[in-house]
Amino acid sequence: MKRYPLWKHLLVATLLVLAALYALPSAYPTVPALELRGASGPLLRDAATTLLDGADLAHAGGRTEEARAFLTFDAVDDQIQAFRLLADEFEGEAVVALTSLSSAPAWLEGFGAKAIALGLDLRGGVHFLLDVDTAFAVDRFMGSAREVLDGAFDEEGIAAEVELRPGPVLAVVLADPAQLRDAVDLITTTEPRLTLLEADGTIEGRLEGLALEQVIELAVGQNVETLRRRVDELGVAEPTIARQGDDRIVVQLPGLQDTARAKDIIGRRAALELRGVDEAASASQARIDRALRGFRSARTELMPYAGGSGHVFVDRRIIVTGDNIVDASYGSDEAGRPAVHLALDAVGANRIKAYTRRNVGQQMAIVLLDRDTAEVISAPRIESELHARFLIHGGGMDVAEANELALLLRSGSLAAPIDIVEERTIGPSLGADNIRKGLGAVTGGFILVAVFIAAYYGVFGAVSVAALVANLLCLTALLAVLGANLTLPGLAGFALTLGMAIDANVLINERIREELAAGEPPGSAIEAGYARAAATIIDANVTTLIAGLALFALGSGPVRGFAVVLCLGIATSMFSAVVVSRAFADLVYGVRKGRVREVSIG
Amino acid sequence: MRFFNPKRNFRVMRHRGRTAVLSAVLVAVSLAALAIRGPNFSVDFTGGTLVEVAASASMDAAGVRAALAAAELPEPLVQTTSDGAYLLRLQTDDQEAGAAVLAALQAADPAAELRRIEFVGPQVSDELFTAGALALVVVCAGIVVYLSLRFKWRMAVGAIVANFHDVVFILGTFSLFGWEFNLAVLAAVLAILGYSVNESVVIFDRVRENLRKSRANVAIVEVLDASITQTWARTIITHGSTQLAVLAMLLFGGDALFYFALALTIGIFASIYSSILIAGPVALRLGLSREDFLNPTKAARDGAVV
Repeated sequence: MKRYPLWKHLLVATLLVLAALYALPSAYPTVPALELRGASGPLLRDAATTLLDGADLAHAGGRTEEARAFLTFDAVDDQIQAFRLLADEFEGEAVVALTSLSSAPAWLEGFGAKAIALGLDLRGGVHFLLDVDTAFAVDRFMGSAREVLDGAFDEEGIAAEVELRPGPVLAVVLADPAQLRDAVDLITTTEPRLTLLEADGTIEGRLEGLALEQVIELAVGQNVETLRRRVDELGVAEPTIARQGDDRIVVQLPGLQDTARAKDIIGRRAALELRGVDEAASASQARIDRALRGFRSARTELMPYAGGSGHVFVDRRIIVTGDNIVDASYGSDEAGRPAVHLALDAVGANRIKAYTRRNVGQQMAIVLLDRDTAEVISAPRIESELHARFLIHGGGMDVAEANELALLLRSGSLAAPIDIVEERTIGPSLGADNIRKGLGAVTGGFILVAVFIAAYYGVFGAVSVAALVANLLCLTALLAVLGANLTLPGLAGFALTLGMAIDANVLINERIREELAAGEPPGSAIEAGYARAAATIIDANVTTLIAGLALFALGSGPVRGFAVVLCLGIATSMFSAVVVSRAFADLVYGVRKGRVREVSIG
Repeated sequence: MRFFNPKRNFRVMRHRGRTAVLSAVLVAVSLAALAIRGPNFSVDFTGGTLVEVAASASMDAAGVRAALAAAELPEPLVQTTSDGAYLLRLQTDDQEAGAAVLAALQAADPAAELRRIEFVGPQVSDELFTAGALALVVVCAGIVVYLSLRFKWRMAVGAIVANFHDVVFILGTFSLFGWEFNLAVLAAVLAILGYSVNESVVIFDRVRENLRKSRANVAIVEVLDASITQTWARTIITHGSTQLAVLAMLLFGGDALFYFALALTIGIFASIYSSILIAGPVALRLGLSREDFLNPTKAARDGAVV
């Protein structure tokens, strides 16, 4: 038997050591932990441990980073109790999030070795698929284009009616058709993104092609940013917020407990506007009734007060929008009522200054727009000129509402409303259950297969089992290094891979048996077995790979997790069957002096 | 140990008339079940809300229904899981329904604990359905392409028919018994498709090798029998070990993996049956002859043989 070259042995040994190293962290259990995010990690940790000790709550250990601190616990119950306490105590100062930490020793992290990331179905949490209302984004764009063009025509002295028609189409009706050329030029320079169509004195502008994509892209991108900021405030460790396709956003919040609050905070558009109030009109019940019956006014619109106490006419013109808000925090006013403190950027500050200077003594409405509703939170009287910083209160906001409003204003409004089109919530107990059952299937499958193969093929069976262990290590290490999320179907894929991987060894072992039966001496039988089975093994995996890749391309979530494990498993099992088991066989039979007289292959 | 290396050749091909009837009946029943009952699609494909709640022992299915009725929620389909939790399926597009169901149950039974909520909107379920059907078509097409590169058309068709039998049989069985067909089951069907093709490939490869070695007057039927017999050990051990892993899933994997593992189990047995009793007979029926093997395609020459 020709010896397996030394360099191949060394290569196999190196790869296996690396695989073991990177697979090792996944073998350590995770421990329940809390993540605290705030100004200073060490200070947070000190404050938290003092609080926990004071309340007689058990905690195990922890570590700190610059702006984060982690506390670990021995039991989930301790973790939850500590979470409730700390979330209350640190409200507004720091974000407290439930999480879990690997108990792997620190030196492993020095190599960059991390435990496999667990999918939501294994760790518990919420998965939302959000659909962005792109039609809204387009409407909004057209609306602002209308305003801009209206102003531009006024400035240039072109008499034109700019109106928004369904489609949406921006129709510019010229008083003097001779000005058509000038009007087209003006539109092209002020809003080049519109595609224009001219027909007898009317210019129609549409949003098409690339420009349309850009507007949608911008809206979805801004929504992702807003959601990221909102989720940051929710107290979730390691959230995922990502675009999916053209107009979808995936939000995954591991370990989240309060899903109702999450939905509320994620789904709200929360656009804030400050507008003038038409007090005379608001005082007239007759006009309110008329407006409620559907009568529309060009300059003002009727809006209800939040909390359902009456209506008020507000200007259609907006003084300042939420886009000008740079910070919002909740607090209280001089009378001790809950209020939200706002800070505006320079543009916003200039506008509010100019408006309030001219309108001292008048009312100003604070309008909150959500998906289908527009409400006036309050309409306080302007007592003096306002600057960049001021506070709003009203509507009988309680502390929680003021806090939530501040959060929403701070994180910005959604550029376009979103709908939850898919939700998958996994409770923490089911997540733990799934891990237990998934691991049970993998371990059970491994033991059954290993016993069967070892019994059937003797020493070569043991070689096959060793290759199976190598396969397990390589697959675990690969998943951990690639950062792929392991899901329950992924764990099932693990078990399935173990069962299917044996096929390669069976092909080799059966081939060796045949070569032996045909009278080949043991050494060359082994060699021929490996050499001739290799091509068949590759062949045998092609179709499973086709299925795996199709599943990956078309599947989502957990199914994709299965596809990843299936495809990677094919790669690792081919490697371990053809290369690793060959090295093991060489170690068993190749080191003997002289010819191999007998092969134990059942 | 050698249980599976028989001394004499199986003579399965001489029974191919009878097995063809059996196969035809199996496929007909499967297709009928598919057409009449259809798969019992999960919320992944139908849209709607699924809520799993672990309640205290005092709560029974009637209590669950009453609690929902009291909250004026739509009538759910109530099932119990193996560990006594309640699975409620509501056919509704309302994204708030899950939370409302949980609130109603917790009002009736403060100990009720949420295990999971799955809400799939109508748009998403349509997309999942299309993507799933597309995946099935893509994998089938990929396998057809692979087999036609690998074999001359008679064998390729034989293997393809065998494969389609497997898919139809799994889908038919799931329809017949009303087992839940979810995304994981679809994944299992696709995985088994890729996996079972291989069985026919191994047998046909062996046929080719045996034909080259044998004399010209040996009947092709006998060569097929011999090939099936010679690959029998590999068939049993390979499928046996895969089935052992799947068995572990059935035993330890709980409800979440049960139908996934069940689909794999049916698929494994179907693929053993079809690669032996459908692929070969179909190829014979199409007039498989020695010539089909004499000039192998390029891919086949490169592939080694068991």
